[in-house]
Order: sequence, then C-alpha cells, then structure tokens
Amino acid sequence: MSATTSRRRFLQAAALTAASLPMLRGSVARAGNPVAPLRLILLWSPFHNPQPFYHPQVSASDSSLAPAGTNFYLGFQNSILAPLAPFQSDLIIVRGLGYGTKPGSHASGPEVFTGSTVSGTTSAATMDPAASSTASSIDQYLHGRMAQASSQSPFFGGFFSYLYSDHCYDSDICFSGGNPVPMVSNPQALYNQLFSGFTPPSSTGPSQAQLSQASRRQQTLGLVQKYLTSYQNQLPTSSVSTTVLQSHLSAAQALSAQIGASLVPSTVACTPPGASAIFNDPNPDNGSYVAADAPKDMASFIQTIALALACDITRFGALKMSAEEDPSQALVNLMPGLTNFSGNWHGDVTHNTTGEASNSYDVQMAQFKNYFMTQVASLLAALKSYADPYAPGQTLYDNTVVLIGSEGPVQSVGTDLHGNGTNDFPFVIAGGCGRYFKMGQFMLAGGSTAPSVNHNLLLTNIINTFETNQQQFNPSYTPNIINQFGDFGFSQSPTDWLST
Amino acid sequence: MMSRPFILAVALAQAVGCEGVIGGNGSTGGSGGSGAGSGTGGTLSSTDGGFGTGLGRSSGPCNDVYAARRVWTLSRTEYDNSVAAVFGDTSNQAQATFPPEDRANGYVDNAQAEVVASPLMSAMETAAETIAANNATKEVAYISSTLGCTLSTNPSAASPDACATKYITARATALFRRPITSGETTDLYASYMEGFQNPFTGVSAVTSAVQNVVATLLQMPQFFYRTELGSPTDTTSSPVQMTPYEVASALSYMVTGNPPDATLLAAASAGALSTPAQVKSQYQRLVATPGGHSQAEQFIMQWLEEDQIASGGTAAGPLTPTIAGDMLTETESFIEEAVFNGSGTVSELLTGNYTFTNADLATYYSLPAVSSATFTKVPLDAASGRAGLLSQGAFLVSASQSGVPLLHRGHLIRNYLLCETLPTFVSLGFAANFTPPQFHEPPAGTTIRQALTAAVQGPCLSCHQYFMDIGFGLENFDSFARYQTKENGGAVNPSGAVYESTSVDPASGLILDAISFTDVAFQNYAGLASTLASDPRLDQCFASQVVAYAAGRTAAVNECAVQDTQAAQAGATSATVQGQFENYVQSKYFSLRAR
Repeated sequence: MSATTSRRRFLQAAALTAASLPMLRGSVARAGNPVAPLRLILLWSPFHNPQPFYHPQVSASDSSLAPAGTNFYLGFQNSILAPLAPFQSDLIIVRGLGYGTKPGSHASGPEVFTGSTVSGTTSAATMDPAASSTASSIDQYLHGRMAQASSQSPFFGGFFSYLYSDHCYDSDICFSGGNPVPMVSNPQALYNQLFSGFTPPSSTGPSQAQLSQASRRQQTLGLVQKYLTSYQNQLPTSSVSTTVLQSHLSAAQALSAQIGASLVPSTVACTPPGASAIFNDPNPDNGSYVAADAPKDMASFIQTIALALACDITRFGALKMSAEEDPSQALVNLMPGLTNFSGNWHGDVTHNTTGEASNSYDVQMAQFKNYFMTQVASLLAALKSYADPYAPGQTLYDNTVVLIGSEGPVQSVGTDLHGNGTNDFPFVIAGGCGRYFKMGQFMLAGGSTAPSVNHNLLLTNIINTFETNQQQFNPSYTPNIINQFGDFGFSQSPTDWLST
Repeated sequence: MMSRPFILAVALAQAVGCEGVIGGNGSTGGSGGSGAGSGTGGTLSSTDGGFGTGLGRSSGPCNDVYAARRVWTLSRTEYDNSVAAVFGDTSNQAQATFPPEDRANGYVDNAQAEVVASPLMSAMETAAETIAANNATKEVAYISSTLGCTLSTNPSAASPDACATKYITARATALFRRPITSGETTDLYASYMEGFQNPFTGVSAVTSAVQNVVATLLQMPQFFYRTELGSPTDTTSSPVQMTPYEVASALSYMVTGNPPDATLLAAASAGALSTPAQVKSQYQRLVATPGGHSQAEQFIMQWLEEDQIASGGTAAGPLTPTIAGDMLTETESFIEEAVFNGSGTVSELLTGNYTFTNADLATYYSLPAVSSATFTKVPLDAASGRAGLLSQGAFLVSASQSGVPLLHRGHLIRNYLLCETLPTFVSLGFAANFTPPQFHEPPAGTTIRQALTAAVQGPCLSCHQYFMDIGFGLENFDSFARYQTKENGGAVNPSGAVYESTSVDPASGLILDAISFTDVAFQNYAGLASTLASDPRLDQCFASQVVAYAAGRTAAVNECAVQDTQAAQAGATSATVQGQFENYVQSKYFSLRAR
C-alpha cells in the first residue's frame, strides 16, 4: 500500500540520526543573546514566475544598488520581489532547486513542503486533480517533534484556486502522515480555531503537578519504547511489522520530546483583541469562495497568523496564497495594480510561448505574483510589530522562518517557457530566522542553469536548524538531526550551505 | 460541490482505465506470505492428525502461502472491547478519539495497514489516562473485593508490595491476553511506584499508583498489538507455529472482535487449542455469541463496502440520515437472518427473497406498506424487483458515491464477487498512459445506459463489457436506491450479461484476454443475482475474501488456504459462510506463519 510505504520512508527518515553533522548556526549567530524558539510559516502561491522579473539583479557598474550586506537588488521595473526590498537583508533567494524527478509543476502543491512523491496519477499530462501526498509536510513534522505546552496543531489557512479538472493547482500542500490537512478558507474561522478557549500559558514555570505528569508520562514512554524495540528484535529487518513498529517508536520519541519541551517556562502574556479588530472584511466567507473579498481576507489571515505567533498558540503554520484564475470568478481582475484581464489566464498567460520580457502577458503574471509578495511583506511587517516574549529586545520577525514556495519552475527563455518542468523552482526564505542562516543572499544551489539540487536539501536544513534551536532553547531536548526529509527518491545529504 | 458532468467524466476515466482496482478495496497493503512454508503443514501434535489435512480440497495444484510473522494492531473497536472486557468501561474512547483506521484489502481491521504516527500516539496517551482516571477508584475496590488483599500505604521500590504485584499480574495478564513475564512485572511495578511518588492530583498516592499502572498498561505494545510471532525460543522452524495464546487472540478477535474470554484463555493454558477439532469447537462457541453475530455482519458489509453508507450517504438528495440508518439496519438484519437462521450460503445473501423494513423504509422503497415502526421481516415478490444484498440501499447507495453508479456498481461486483480485475490498457491496444475520453451527462430523454452504449465502442467496449453490462442489471435502482422504470426521461432497460474471459491470471484475477470470452445473459436484476449466485467464481472469490479478512492479507483464489476454506461440508454442494470460517480456522494457515 503506497500510504504505508511512504509513511515508512518518512519515519525511517525521521528516525535517522547523524552523529556529527555540522552545526547549522551561521557565523553571525547571536552569541550571548537569549535563545528564543523558532517559528515557521509556509507560504504558497500558484503559477510560474517569469524569469526576468523574478531574479534579483546585480549591477556591476553600480554596486550601490545592492544594499549593504547583500549581493543583489530588487528595485527594477516589474520586479516580482520588489515588495520585499525593505526586508532584503533578511532574505535568501534560492535558485537551482528541483523536485526530484517527479512530474513537476502539476505536482508542486503536494510536493513542495513534503519533499515527497505525490500519490495518484503522476504523469504531468494526466495529473489527478486530487493529487495528494503520502508523507508529512515540514510544519507537521516539526510540530510533532517540538510542540510547546498547550500548543495547537499547525494552522493552515488560505484560498483555493483553479477549477479546471485536468490540473491540481487546488491540491493540498500540508499533510500529516499522508492525510491532507484541511484548509480553513474563512479567516474568521481560523481566528476562532486558534483563539477560542485560549488562555495565556503560565509564566511561572511548570507546577509540581505538571512535573509529576511529565515524569509519569516519560516513564511510560520509556517502557513503550523498550517493548516496541523488543518486538522489532524478534522480526526480520525487512518485515512490514518492523516498519510498523518503527513508526510507533518514532511517534513515541516525538511525544517524549514534546513533553520535555513543555517544561520550559513560558514568558508569554498575551491578550488577543476581539475579532472585530482583526476582520476588515464585513462579510467573511463562510465556506463559499467570494472572489471580491479575497484581498481583505488575505489581510485578515495575516493579522490572525501574526497574533497567533505572538500569543504562542502554535509555532507552525501555513498560508495558501492562491487565487482564482477562472475568468468567471475573475479574482485576477480584482488584484490591485493588475491590468484588467479577460482572456484565458491559463492558456495565454501561464503557457504563452512568445517570449519573455517583451510579452505583456508575462508582465501581467509578474503583477499577479507581485501582489502576493506585497502580502508577504505585510506578514513580515506584522511579525516585526510584535515583541518576542522569549527574547527581550527582539521581535517575532527575528525568530521566524518564512518559507515561500511557488508552483512553476523558472526556466530559461525558449519555447513553452512555463511548461511543467521540475527544475529551478523558486524558493525564498524570509525573516530573521534566529540568525541561524546567513541572510541577504541570492544563492545558486545547483548552478546557473539546468540544475538541480533536490529541494529536500532546503527542507532538511530547515528541520535541522529547528532541532538545533530547540536544544538550545530547551536544554533537555535531544535533537534528531536527519540526513533527509521526505521521499528517499529526493535524497540529498544535508550541508550547512544556508549558513555559509 | 463538483458538477454532475465532472463526476461522470472522472468515473468514466476510472472505468475505462481498465487496470487496477477501485475505491478503497483491493489495496496491496497486505503483507502476504511469500510461500515460504514447506507445504506439508500439519506440524502440530494432534490426535486428529494435525491442521491442514486438506478439508476436502477439490481443486488442482495450489499455492502454499502463509502470512508472515507479524504484530497486528487492535482496531478502535477491538481496543474499546478489550477495555470494556477488563475494566467494564464502555466509554469507547478509541472510537471517539482515535483517527479512523486505514482500510486495506477491503477491511478496516487489517494487519499492518495501521501505522501509529504522532496523532494516534497522542490520542492513545490521552485515552489511556482518561480510562485510568475514570476507573482508578473502582480498581482499588476490585483489589480488595476480588483479589482480597490490601495495598501498602508505604510501598517500597526495593521490596515490591505483594498486593500490588498481584494486581499488576491480574490486569496485565488480562490486557496482554497471556501470562506476563517477570521482567514485565518488574517494569509495571516501577510504573506503580512512579504513580505513587508522582501522584495524580486529587487522589491518594496509592490510588494514583493504581491509576498509573492502568494508564501504562493501555499504552504498552503488549496490549495494543496482538502478536503472531511464535515462541521466542523457536528461532529455526519454518513455518512458525503461533503460541496457544496467540491462537486464542487471533481466533477471538477474528470471530467476535473481543479479546479471548476466560474459557478460551484456559484452553490456551491447557494446550487445548492444538487440534483442528479443538479450534473448531471454540469457533462454534464464539460465533454463537452476540459478538460473533455482529462480527459476521461487519465482515459481509465491509466485503461489499456497504458500511460506507454511514460515512457518505446521508447528506445527498432524498436520502435522509434516518433512511440511511434504516438501510444499515435492514442489511444487518438480513445478514443475521441469512447467515444464522437461513441456509447460511453466499447464494442466499444474493438471492434471498425477503428483507427487513420498517414503515418508513418500505415507503421509501415503494414496497407494500408496513405498519410497524420497528423492523419486520417481509417477503419480496418479483414485482418488487428486489432480492438479496445487491438490491438493498446499503449496497446501492454506497456503490453510487463514486463516479457513474452504473459503472461503479458493476466494477464492484466484478472485483468483490468475482475477484477479477480489468485488463490493462496495453492489452487492449492502448498506450500505457492512455487518457480516456470524457463522458458528459446525457441529454433529456436518454438514459446513462443508452449514452454509454453509444459512446463505448471498439477496444473500450472490450474492457467495459466486463463491468458495464453487470451494472445494467441494477439500472432499476437510482443512486439513492429507489426503484425506477425511467431515468432522465428514458426507459430503463435492466437486461445485460455476465462475461467470463477465457484467460484470467489466477494469482491476481487480472483479465488477460478481454477479447475471448463466454457470457450469460440476464433480463433484469433478478436474473443478474441468480446468474452471480450460480457462478462458480463466486464461492471461490468469497473464500478468498474470508481468508483476506481473517488473515489480514491479500489472498489469491489459487492459494491452498482459499481452496481449503472454500470446501463444502459433507453432504452440501457449497460451503456456508460459517462453514468457510470453520474451514479456515481448522487449516494450517490459521496458526502457522512464514518465518
């Protein structure tokens, strides 16, 4: 069964430990500063990024264009990433990452944050509209490893896109053990999910009752692990049951790690405002998509997410910044700054074959993607507006990793510029990232052309950074430094390249 | 909500795919043995000559396949039943809080389909602690009243409290379904002391100690997994004989969904599960219990995916949740009657000319009025157009939730009643990545059958005939199981044929030659049901389903285990449902495992 097999692979990957991998903390790590927990926000938007408008530029004749500490600049005409210019010193823009040998753009959603093969039809030409993953996404994995006390599961908000039945652009991006995580498309529902029943965690450290509970649970988990291992030892290593038991063992280890994390005192004192302060859309969607409300809803999502991190309700989540391309719903027409459009967005824009920079459709696509980057900038600004309760003098922004993924590879100029390739998918890391990474980089992960380094490398680096951070944040934490994340078919040994 | 045309298109794409299987059934998740057994079987000492004596096997050569040594998770129902059996706690924590099981090989309780990931791990911890908290005081009372001892108020880790040890032994033996080892006793006493030294709030330290033992026991692998490993000291034999306690658990959970009772455990302890006759006797005792009846009903409903009506068939169209629930009750009652009071044959399940209805369901089905609000057995005449499981709402609605009902129903019957899968694209002359054309809802006045018949031609028909023509026989029933003579303004035509390819892979059921076939025509649903009931593939297929369900793995029709299971009892022409389970538990495949 494919689900079982993939879970097995995932769990095997999760269980791997590497004894002496290099520390990922970069050369600019904050020596002497208080260690705050890292947070992770995954962002996703559909469709390709026109290459000339996506890549940062560097002017040899005028290096002053590149801000200090960076090697690129974003302020040029039709630049997709221009809205992120104020945060340029905290960006890593990565080229050269590919999704293994898998079917490419159509499968981007389920693959991007799982690093794993999609299930269902895997031919690009016949991609199952309900293409799914059989693994776990990075947010779910990390939450399972290091959720704090009283933590909620990772949030997942956003919009769907693309109704056409022969594509999967409306497919899921977040998965837990092979199960799609339901997306909350109504921002007010997301607010209610996060804040209903919310009480600020204690700032006085664990009580004796909590310590006793943790002790009992750890003792029980120790026995569980002992006897799971005993069963494993009675079976051949190739046995399916051995894999089943390994899954159980990994889950027990993760739960044990969470218990350890739960004993760390919280310093959060948060009083969330009422919903009326969050929702500027007077008529938030109630399950049915209303294109005209999308920009307002996006703003509400961003405010809700930032507040959730500020109140330490969870430290992991995702936002799908999709949008409807069906002309009958015409969200593309509503986006600020986007030229009114009445044609076939899919056929004319995303698959146009008539060239790059001179093509007006590519400009429209750049505007479309640029809109999403304005939302990313809004999120980064919101994170900067909240103090980090665990690190005096710092903001949430300083200790948050924002990972931005997109469907559609950026390909070299040629015919069918935006075909469903598998190479050179655009990724951007934003936020302070706890200074674990060397920010302000435009990186070529696999060379300037025809890469690629599999994007599992990126996911693995981020996971290991969180594991390392957790150890420093919580001295009792035992990190699970892994060699790879997701499908073995995407395998890459981790390096510390994000910090160098 | 997807539009109707889209559903049709997807369904046709699935069907025209002509490869693989459909729905949640037919997964390859089962472990399956690799034929590692010697083929001689019957390795047990036995006055009856040992297991696996052939049981009247009539077919020719067969494959000697054993399930692999393994651990097998408790299903949610089994977890809850086990908790209830030991503690009397009927709060059903697992069914309320655990994620649903992965369905594999058609059945929800399937060996190795379930994987404990973090969400289930957390739920198990919470459930165990909840059950422990709710029963701690009762457990302390049980110690004094039943075990007849008093717990020390000052227990020592170095010198274990005898009463606490007695309690641990009693409960662990019951939950592990076997005697516990000295090492396990030591570990659980450490849990007792942990609960004493780090007490739960609101209870005494002694009660907390007991509570912590319960919470620990319910998370232990020895409780959550039933093992099929054989003796730890047996490291060489092949195939491997399961221990008597493993046999007891396998038998009890399979037959009743419950842990072994005291009688069965006593038999295991006394070595009285070592012959086919002894196991058969225990089977007959257990299947006669309410749990035995209920489990038989669940098996048959999962076989035909009829249980799916509970999850998806209650919100659409005219089908109210009440009517959907009535359909479930109808089918459960019908199975109970056919299996335990009727002939007990698979044939009766398909052709039984009676059903159970209340007033609402009779009206919904357009059957003669029934005055009672409670379910009553009613005869079905030819005019009703109904007879047997395939004409009941539980099947018809469940089989209509995916794609074009006409096609999906036919596909299900081909897969689950005949154990055959459709030919590959390549065998029909298509490219391997062939994309089927889309199918759109027909215009008014045209039935789906008429539209499909016009659209599906040539090599497409070579595949479609194997399921589409079966589906024709159910055209009198709409997606909601109501009887219809017109569909979309066109006249319904329920005639069709059951095709049989001259070349089918016996191991996989794959139709190898779609072009060369024989067929049996029928005029309506009654004819279809009768044709299926008399098809020799049905009994063989059903036996493979019995083995798949009971052994928690896929089972090909050419396996010896299947042929042994299918064997008819003396004087009968075909085995009953109960008879097939009796055959299986007496076969060597029930208690031997591949190393």
